[in-house]
Amino acid sequence: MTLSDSVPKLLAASQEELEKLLDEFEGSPSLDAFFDIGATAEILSLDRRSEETTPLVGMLSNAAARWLWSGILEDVAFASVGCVYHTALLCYFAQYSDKYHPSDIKTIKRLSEGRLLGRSDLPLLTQEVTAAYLSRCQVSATFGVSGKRDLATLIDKRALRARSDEYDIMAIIMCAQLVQLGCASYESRVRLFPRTLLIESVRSDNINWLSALTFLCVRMFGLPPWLRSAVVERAITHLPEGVGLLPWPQSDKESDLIQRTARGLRLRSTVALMLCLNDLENSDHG
Amino acid sequence: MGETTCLSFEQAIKTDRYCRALGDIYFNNTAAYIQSLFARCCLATTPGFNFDLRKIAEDSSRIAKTVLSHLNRDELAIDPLLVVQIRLILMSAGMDVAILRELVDLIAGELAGQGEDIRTQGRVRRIASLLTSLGYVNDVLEPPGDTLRLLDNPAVWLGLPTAQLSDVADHFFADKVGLDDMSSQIMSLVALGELRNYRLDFGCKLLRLVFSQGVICLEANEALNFVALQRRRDGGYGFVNPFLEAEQSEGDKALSLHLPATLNAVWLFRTKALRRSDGNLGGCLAC
Repeated sequence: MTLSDSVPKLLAASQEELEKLLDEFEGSPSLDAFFDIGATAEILSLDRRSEETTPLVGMLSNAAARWLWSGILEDVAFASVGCVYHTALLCYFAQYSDKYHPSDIKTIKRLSEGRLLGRSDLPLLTQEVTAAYLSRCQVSATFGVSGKRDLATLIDKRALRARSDEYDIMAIIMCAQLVQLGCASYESRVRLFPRTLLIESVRSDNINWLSALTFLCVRMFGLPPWLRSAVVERAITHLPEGVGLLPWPQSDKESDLIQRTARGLRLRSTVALMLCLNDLENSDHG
Repeated sequence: MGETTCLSFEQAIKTDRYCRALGDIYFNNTAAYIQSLFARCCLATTPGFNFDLRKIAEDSSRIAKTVLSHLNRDELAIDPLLVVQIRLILMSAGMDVAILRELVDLIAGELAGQGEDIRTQGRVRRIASLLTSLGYVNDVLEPPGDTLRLLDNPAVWLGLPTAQLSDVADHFFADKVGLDDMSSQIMSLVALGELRNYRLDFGCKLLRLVFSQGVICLEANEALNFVALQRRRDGGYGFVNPFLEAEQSEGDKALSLHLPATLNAVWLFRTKALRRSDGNLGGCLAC
């Protein structure tokens, strides 16, 4: 038996399994099934339409077109930033289906252009900030200019994405670092997002975020007087009476995408609050 | 600050069809039917659309009859604010639907019979204010003293629980007083936060207040964008998280998410369009 003799058997098994997977997702969408489909789509996207993969591509394309038409892909993409890449891949496959109509992509197009679809901005920011810090140590870590990407808008428009977690706080901190290192002048153009999150933290009484965001707004992005008084009022209620750190952070803000332990966040927030208390007090008296 | 195109004429027609279809499916669910009817009223009377209101008048007559003939109306859980708003919109278009008037008479009577503690609540004052516009002799009581102090202190709004801030917004609607720059910014930012966390009804309510009576700012326009982009291909609004709500049927999703989201979206777009068309700063009656 030659290796190529196995192709029909492998194809039959793959077809059977993919069909099951597609049905499973259609019947009861789950993240596991979605990512399993995504993993298959990744490799099929690299094939040059060989005869062997035609049935698999056909099944995947038809399913993707059906989901695009019925709105499932929009729901999935809006639900989680982690699903956006595979949603894009499935939209790409949907185009190869007979059932695809160009107008089917309209909602995804609007969501994307309106910046309601999450993109992972952190890798780009990480590269920029890493290069900026290493360059201060005489280490060249740039791989050329990052292009004409407008990072300030990219970050500020995160305010339009549903829900936030620690990932967003880290993105704002990185923005502030780039400003401080003189690599960017975002301070006047990144305003909506930190302010929106700060108000959310006031309203949800999240002292962990409140401390970090107040520090960032006081030092970099601006803190209007009316927001300052609300922040001071909240901060006072959480200040430890004796020697101690701020309370443990709320657990529902943890990010699946970056690792941050509660211990580190607690320490971070305590330091952040400590650093801006003087500013807050002075302006309060002023 | 980018200008937002909330809704084209074609999109409005599609959304109207969507609301009508939901109304037909859920005619027996009176509260949902009234929501769909009010959404249609909003679409029909958004400046620039001017849809025919006759069918809406007929449908409002039909549903009012159903409500009035029901043995236990409380069970229907209808929103009196929406009923009064529908009446107001139809009356503004010169359509006096007799049986709808009867229903609103009933609401006005029930409101007048409430105690002071109820009649000084924001939402009740708001309904009373609308009834006054419809010609009912109905005192809109002053808010209690601590509420008045709250209304004058926007910085405190940030820390208010949702129900209390919602009450503040209702008092502003009831009194039709303008929001200054700072109050508008606070309301818009809180609205944006609520919208991102998918509390669309509350977020849209605060935004309607800003667009009808406040200073339109970048924050308000961005929040409006967020709502406009919730549009689905079927003309409805709102995205579901399929991984969290898989156990819900399509019908459940329509009633719990899409219909309220659609109603809130078109109500907001109408409010914005009215503001643009007449520069109204004193609060429009049906916002």
